[in-house]
Amino acid sequence: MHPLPHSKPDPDDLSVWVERGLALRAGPVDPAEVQRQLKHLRRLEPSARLAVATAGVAARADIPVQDFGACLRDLA
Amino acid sequence: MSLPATLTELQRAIAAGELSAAQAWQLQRERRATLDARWHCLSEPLEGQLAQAASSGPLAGIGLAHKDNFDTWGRSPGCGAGPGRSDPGRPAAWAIEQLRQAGAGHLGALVMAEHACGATSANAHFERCINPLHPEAVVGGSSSGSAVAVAGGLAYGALGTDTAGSVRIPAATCGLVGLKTTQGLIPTQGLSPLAPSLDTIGVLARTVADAAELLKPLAPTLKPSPNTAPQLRAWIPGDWLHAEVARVLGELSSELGAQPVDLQADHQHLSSLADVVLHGEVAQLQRAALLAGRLSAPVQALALPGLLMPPPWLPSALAVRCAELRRFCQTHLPAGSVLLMPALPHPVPDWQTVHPGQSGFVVRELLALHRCMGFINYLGLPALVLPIAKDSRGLPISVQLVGRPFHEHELLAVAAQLQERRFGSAGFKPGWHLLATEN
Repeated sequence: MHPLPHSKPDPDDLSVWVERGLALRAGPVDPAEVQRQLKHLRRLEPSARLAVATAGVAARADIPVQDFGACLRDLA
Repeated sequence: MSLPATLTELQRAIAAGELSAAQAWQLQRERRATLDARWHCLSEPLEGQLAQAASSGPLAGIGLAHKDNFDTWGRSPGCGAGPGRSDPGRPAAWAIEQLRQAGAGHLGALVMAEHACGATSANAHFERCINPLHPEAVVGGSSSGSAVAVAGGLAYGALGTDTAGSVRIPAATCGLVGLKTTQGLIPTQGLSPLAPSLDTIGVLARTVADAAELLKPLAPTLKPSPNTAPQLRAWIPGDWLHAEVARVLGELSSELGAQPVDLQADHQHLSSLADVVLHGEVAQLQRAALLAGRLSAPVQALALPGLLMPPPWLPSALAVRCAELRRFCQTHLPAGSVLLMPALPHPVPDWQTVHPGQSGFVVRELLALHRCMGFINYLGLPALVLPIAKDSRGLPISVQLVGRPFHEHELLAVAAQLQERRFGSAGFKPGWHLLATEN
């Protein structure tokens, strides 16, 4: 598995983040699943792309977990 | 003197002076034992002063009954593992107290799957709940007694809880309206938790209007439905839906002009995340009992995978939750839209097909009951199931409506139109009240 990148993620190259996120969530990483996730991410805006990709490793990377209740209220 | 079929009809009858709230309440109490002997839905009747219906208030004289995982006045719930426990001084759960203050009576605590772990009414501690629509049809769980009490005429409405479909599955098996509310809309104070990040309180009712009346005291500040009709989107999975269900949903989608969407990949991905949170949080709460070997088989089945999975999985699944919700709304549920999708992917099965240990048990049929449910809890969204057709045995085929956060009234408005179009304002079974009055 790749180490976590130390620099700010590049919205156009998120494969490391996706792989790490999938590994944390589901164990062994299926390369096809990584490609599927990357394909999905590429359809998003760069900021959303970063949020989704990095949230997968938030717990390990000490990125604050967002308040889910506030998130629901934002989308009301 | 007879009682009307629905909660809103009883409200009208009391308001018109056709009977008093006290008379209505007395009639409901008198038939409680007879109906329970037929359907096996009561865990324990409640008799205290605070359980009595009031003579004033929007729900005056209305008899309700609730899943036995809520605290009531001076009583700790049995949670489907047996009778409750006397606990002097214990206040009722927030939701139960709100309904009391609106005037409703509490007829009794209702049978449920043990510790809310199960998609059916299977529970070794109680007699099997009977589905009032068909004696061989399963009653879904875990709020099984809630569905039976409402469908069988014992209560005009019931609270249930929904962590992975436990309001919507029983409602869909009994021809009821089942509303799972937005995560956090109704405070869970006084509720025995299963998986706190997913637990939500919901209502089961005979009609959409009844469900709306029950929601009012539980969510008084919820914004009303917008005046504009929502854009409808429909997800009808092509490969794992039973042909009869697919046909009914396809016809409904065409009739409404709903825009087709494909959730297949997201459904699979989000369902996995929901499972991680469900198993992980049940394991956290039940860890000591699990390690001591004190959990019953249904609870152990949920807790054990959570104990065995790698520790980072749970925080990771929770960490991506906001991003997943935003992405899902942006992609599939933009502002002003409502999503239509299946409730149960198959027709309502017989109980022997989905109760583990029975000779006819088919594991796929049991898993199918859950299939369209858990990912909605992970996303925290409101969802409503509603019968829209009858299958070849006369049992309900239901649709599930999913809305943006806190858009319950929008779901109720769409559901009211669908109900009127399919069955009229009386709901799936206009003779609900006959079940209750033929004693």
